[in-house]
Amino acid sequence: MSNAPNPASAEVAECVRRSLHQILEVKGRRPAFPLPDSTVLIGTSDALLDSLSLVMFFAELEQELQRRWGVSVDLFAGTGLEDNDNAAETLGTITDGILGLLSDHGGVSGTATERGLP
Amino acid sequence: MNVERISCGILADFNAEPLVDLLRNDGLYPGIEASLAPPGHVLQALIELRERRWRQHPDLVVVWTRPETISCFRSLLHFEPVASEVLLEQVDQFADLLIAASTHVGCLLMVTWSLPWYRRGLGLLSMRGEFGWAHNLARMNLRLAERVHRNPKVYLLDSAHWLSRVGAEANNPKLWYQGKMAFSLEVLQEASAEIKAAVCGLAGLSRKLILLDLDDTLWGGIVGEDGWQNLRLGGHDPFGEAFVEFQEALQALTRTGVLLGIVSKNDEATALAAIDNHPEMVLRRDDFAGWRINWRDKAANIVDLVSELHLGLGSVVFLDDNPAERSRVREALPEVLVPEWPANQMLYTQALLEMRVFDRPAVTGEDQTRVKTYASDRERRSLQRSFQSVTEWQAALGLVVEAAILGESNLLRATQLLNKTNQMNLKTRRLTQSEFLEWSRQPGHAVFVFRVSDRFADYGLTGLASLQEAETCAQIADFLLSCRVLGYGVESAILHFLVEQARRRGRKELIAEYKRTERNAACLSFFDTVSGFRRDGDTFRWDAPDRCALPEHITLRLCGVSPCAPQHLEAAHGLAAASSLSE
Repeated sequence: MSNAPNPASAEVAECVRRSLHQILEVKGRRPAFPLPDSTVLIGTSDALLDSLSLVMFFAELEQELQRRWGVSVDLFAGTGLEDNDNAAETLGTITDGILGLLSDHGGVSGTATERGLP
Repeated sequence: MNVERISCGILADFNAEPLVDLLRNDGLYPGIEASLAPPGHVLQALIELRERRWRQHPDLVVVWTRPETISCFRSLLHFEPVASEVLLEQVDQFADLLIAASTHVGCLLMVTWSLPWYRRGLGLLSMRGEFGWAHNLARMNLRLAERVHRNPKVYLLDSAHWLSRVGAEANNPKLWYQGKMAFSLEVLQEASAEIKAAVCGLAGLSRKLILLDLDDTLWGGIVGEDGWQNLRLGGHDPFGEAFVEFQEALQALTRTGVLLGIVSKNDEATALAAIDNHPEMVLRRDDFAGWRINWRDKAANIVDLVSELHLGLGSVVFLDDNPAERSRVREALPEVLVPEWPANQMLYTQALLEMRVFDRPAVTGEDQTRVKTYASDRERRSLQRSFQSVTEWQAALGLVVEAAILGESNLLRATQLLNKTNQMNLKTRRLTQSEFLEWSRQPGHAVFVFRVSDRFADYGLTGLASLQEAETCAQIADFLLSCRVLGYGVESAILHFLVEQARRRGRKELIAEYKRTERNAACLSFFDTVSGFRRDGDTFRWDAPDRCALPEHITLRLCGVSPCAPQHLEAAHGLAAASSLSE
């Protein structure tokens, strides 16, 4: 992946949030932005997403990453987030997971702490 | 169908839960509360609906299945040989089930069958008869369409259009295996928007009038500065070609009943000279229902023109290349739809054609010739100016009103009129074709339709009235007249007709109960000015023994309507066929 794009971590975080927002809008939920990294996405009673929404969120996020940076990541497969028990729990962990996947593709600049988000 | 409170059932053989959410939450009008039958139980749900076993009868049912619903097609996907007639027989059975189920709902929308884009069908083989997936899929959809073609309650929605718009992201195997979603969110968003457009079309809420700017909207360049000879229109010029195609698309819309008008800041004579003389103009003067070409504020001009055309602002779309003008009209007239318009003129046609505000369930003869009636209206007004008095002018028009009973041949147009008329409308009832038919068949109900013509034009079926009989009186259930024939005395002729029917039927009273809306003040005003009515609040009573005069300048013809009321009422209940309605 020598020609891999080099998105800043803040851009990736924004991309994750945008995809999440789109799914939440379908459900008729429009949370105030920015959602904090600690936002629970799934696994508890107050989680933002149900299992179907999580599937749609992953699919949307894969497309968005492809559209914006031409990066093909597989969030559903064994190499993706599904294997990690904690990765999908909060917005922060999923963002870190995506950053990790992009880093594996050789292309993220900055660190998670530079995302500039709460 | 009341679009504000539509109940909707969705039957799908995949997980359509996000579609339910979108119908409620996507922000498009109208919001629809839908419920979802358990996935995979489509046939069972349709049978239960046919047998009236649903707890509620929804206004709308959307059926969306994969083509594998037809078991023969499932075999085809495994390249097992299938006899064509057996495949189509299964489609027929499915179509019959849809039709039978539809009798217990307001309307049924069936989404056409499609395959995921990656199912190529082995390329060369795909359009071959025996094993071809694309070939047989097209035949199945066509057969389904032919089967439901004449049914007033079942309509097909073309999913191929949605899929091509979304592209390769339309189908995602991961969504299928993880969530049993056969289509991506983007496809479901398209579906939701199309379902809502269909609902608006069925309810008669489609937009009726496109008001156009001229310079850099209908043609390229500034006519007042460049002269009409130098406009970019046609020729060997990509932008010129794009403007011609845009005009052709607008003209095509007029053949479905949409009207065109001009609102432009220009010198009128200069602009009209371009319209009349430019050899590449597709749209000529007669293609426009009216225009306001001057230097006044465009919002004021729109109000003025819409009023002249007897339409409401809610029926208008305004297209202008200038963002400042768009912003001004949007702010001043929020009812007018002002879409964002592409900066690149080669995208105008696309922007027009992808709008979802002109949907309609059918195109009637009146729709196809509507624009001509506005052109003849201009001639009529011109004639009016040559007469000293209104009476002389009206006499010179040679108005003929033909009354007929609601029948199969006029049901479509009558329902359209019922659902679209706002101003001269006593009750503003909104009913689907089948609901209207059902109502007209009930004992004591009679529906009459009225065609209007004069020396300039045949306006077609432009009036409708219905009676509901009680023991001693007759109630006017509907009294409505298209705005195109308002002000010629036709409303008085219809009232004369209804009074005569009530008298001959032996009713002592004819009652009109006015139901107020935001837009039907014209109707109240008419009933208020007819001497002979006793008004009590919004109820008007006519003592039926008294006659109601027919305006002298109108000839009333009865087509298949016997002056003897009992006979015509019987005929109305039986819904006399078109052939029996001849004079």
